[in-house]
Amino acid sequence: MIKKFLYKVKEFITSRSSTEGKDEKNQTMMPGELQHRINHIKNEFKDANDVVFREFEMHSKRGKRKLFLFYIDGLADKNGINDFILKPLMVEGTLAQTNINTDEPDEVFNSVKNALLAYAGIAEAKTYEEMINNVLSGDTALLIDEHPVALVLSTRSWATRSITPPQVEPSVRGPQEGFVESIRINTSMIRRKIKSSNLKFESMKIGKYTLTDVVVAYIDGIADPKVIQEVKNRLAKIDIDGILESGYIEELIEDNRYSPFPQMEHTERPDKIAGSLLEGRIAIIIDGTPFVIIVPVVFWSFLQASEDYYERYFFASFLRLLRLVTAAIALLGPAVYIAVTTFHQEMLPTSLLLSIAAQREGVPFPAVVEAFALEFSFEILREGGVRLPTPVGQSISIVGALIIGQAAVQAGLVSPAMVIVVAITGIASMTFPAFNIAITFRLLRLPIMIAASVLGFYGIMLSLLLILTHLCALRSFGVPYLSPLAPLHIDGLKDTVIRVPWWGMLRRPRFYQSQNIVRQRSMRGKAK
Amino acid sequence: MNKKIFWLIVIVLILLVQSGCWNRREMETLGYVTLMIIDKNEAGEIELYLGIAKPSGLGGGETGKKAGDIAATRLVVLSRGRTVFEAIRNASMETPRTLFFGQEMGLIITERAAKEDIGDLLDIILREHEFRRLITLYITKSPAIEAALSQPELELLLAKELEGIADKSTLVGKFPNVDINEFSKTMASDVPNPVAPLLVIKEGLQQKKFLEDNSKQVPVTPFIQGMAVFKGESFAGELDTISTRGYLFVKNKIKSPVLVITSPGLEHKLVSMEIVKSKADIETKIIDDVPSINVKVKVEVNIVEEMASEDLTKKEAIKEVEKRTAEVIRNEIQKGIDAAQLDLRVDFFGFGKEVHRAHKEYWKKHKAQWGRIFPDVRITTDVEAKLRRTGLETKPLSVK
Repeated sequence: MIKKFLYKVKEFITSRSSTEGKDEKNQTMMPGELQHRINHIKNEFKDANDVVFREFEMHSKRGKRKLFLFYIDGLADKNGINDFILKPLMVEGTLAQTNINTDEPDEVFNSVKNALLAYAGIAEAKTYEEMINNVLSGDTALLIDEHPVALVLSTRSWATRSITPPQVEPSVRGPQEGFVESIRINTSMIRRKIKSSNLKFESMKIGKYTLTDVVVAYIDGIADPKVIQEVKNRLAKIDIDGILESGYIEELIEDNRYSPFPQMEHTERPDKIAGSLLEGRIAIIIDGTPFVIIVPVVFWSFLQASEDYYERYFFASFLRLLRLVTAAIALLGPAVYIAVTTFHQEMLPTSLLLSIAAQREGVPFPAVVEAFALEFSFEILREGGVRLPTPVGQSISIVGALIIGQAAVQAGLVSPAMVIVVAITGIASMTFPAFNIAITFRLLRLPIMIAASVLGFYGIMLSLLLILTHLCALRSFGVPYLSPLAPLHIDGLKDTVIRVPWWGMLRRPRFYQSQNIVRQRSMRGKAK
Repeated sequence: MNKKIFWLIVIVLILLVQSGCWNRREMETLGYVTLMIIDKNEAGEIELYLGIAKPSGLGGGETGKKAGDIAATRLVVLSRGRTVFEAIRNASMETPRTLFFGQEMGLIITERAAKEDIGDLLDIILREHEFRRLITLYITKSPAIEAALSQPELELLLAKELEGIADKSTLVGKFPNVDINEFSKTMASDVPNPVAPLLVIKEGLQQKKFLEDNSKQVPVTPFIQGMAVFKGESFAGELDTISTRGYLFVKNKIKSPVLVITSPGLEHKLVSMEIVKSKADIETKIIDDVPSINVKVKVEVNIVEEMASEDLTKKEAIKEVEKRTAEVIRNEIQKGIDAAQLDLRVDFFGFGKEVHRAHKEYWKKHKAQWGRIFPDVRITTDVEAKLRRTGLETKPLSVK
């Protein structure tokens, strides 16, 4: 019966109606006849009022030739189209009639492309699909009568958010710029940090309707080609209607789909991406979101902030140790409290025990119920704080502090000690640089609390063993999740729980299978 | 995949059943026994006084009550039974909360109950997992009820007050600090002569004041002084504070007690010395099957207080101070040894263990008779004292 049930569940999760076949008619080569093509295009963009069609003529000695361009209003640079496409063709092309002294379509096409259009980005499109896809991305297509190839001019320019400090990953020391929603700006920010021709941006489009630009970035010669290929293969397998955020891709290409642990990092900091690329990792940049994915990933990287590399190493190491402690608190805080107060009363110092027992004397619920109630209300407050519009956001903290901190204790519904435990746990779960690992800890906390309430410390140990077993089995693009601790890489430990000074890190982390292991030459002149 | 999940479920079920601490108990449903007093009445029945902490009277912050209000901080329950455990269970007839012994801090046994077979009373503490073996053991000659109702003067709980005093053993040197683990281990060894601190119940200053103000009878307060010596499982006798300190010197259980000697210059004036370091070595010799024991003690002392106006920084004065200090210590040790050999005729020092360590063959032959041999063994004492510091003032305070 369990078998059948599991099968059903799996079927439910993975069931997909077969995706429709690709639009065949747009993949055919375009004919030369202009009017025919214009009709096709206008039919294609029927009822789309943001598309601008422009038919015009270019005069030459031999007569006039019809041209047609179209672009999407708002995505294309209108001034550029006026000044550098229409003006040369209509005015200067006509004036300098010597330029075009033949009527052959090929000759016209070449002289338009090579002599008249002062545009840096120019490409040719032979099929409707190719052309239309580019126009939808903001390019302008120029069609010439009797010539079957369309010119695609790179006129992409639209309103974007300006570069601001990273919103969710602020830092005290380090670059204060974050990615934006436009992929071009994002790649430029990475390129500005790594000025090497070995930095590669391979692009692809994913999403049947959204045609989202996805760029796989890596440094040739450092990143493992096998991992690059694997990333590209997994991306190529995606067949979905739309990609709106990097989260879509993350879920579609991760190694273990049922694991509560994130198997990819995401960041909005270009410096973090640059650092990861230099370690031999691969970034997946998705258009329309400031969050860029990094693969492969190990567990420890979620506990490391880019700031760790900018602050001096004592402090960075201290912060990393601190985050390990807060990880333990975030995961186990309420569970340990439940276990100690309901199973292991002999573990507490007598005065502390008596003090907690005195607090609990009026509380009507068992410690577990108390803990769950408080955890739950804390989650409600947190979610409310995120969702509330900014102007009323303040009230939530007042209400939260009053309800939870004061009234509940005074009414004798919860004990002050429990409030402290839950509050510290809540704060501890916010110390991680990566939000996704904090979510994992938040969710795993609840089952561990149940285990603690049933079995005490024994239950906590069981849950921890289960989690540890799972972590040992987990891989991210072939890299064991707990590297460099398991399997052990002594050299990699330099940058895991502690960070050794930069002059001590002569090599790149080996567990990312980097092609070029030497990060720096020793400053003492001794090559290692 | 499905097979894996099946096994996972099986394993989890097995683990659930295997649990050792299945019985979940909310902490406010427990009665925390902090002190247990074992007495025996004329009928041979065990009388148990349990001091149970009242969290509401002790809890921190607003709910905490001030010391002195005995009813607010603890409940004292008297129960009887033929065995200790029966008495504990009988106590539940008048306590609404499940008794919990994991936080117990002290065990007091009356001399009457310890007269013979103290081991029988301790068995439950060694056998039952909930008891701590590290709780301090006290023997008292006062009536159990007085001990049970005696009042802590500083701490909120009597057990805590006792524990605090017992910890000062190495500071004062006038009573030992013995936990049940140590006591029972000694009792089970070849030289089965354990010791325990003696608890004396008398009026404290506060109580005296209270008695003068009110005619009502008021509980008294505990002191610890001297020690009780056991021969096997039965109470053999007690030692005064000076002999106790001699014992502690030999056992290396002393840290910084005060020694008072007469001033080298003015014989009627006194000088206080603080011991900084004390190390005793026991040497045993067997000549013609006759053992002899030499106790060598090396101490380092500081002058803390001088009541005479003598300059003690001179070389000769230092020599003299060292000599007198050694003499005082030697006398104390001798008193202890005399008590062991002459009065009680019990080797509570554990010299037998030293003989065992050094002379295996002799011990094998004579270990059964050691109790009879010991009183006649020649024991000598060498004490070497070194004066380290004479304090901030080199010259004493005096009128010029």
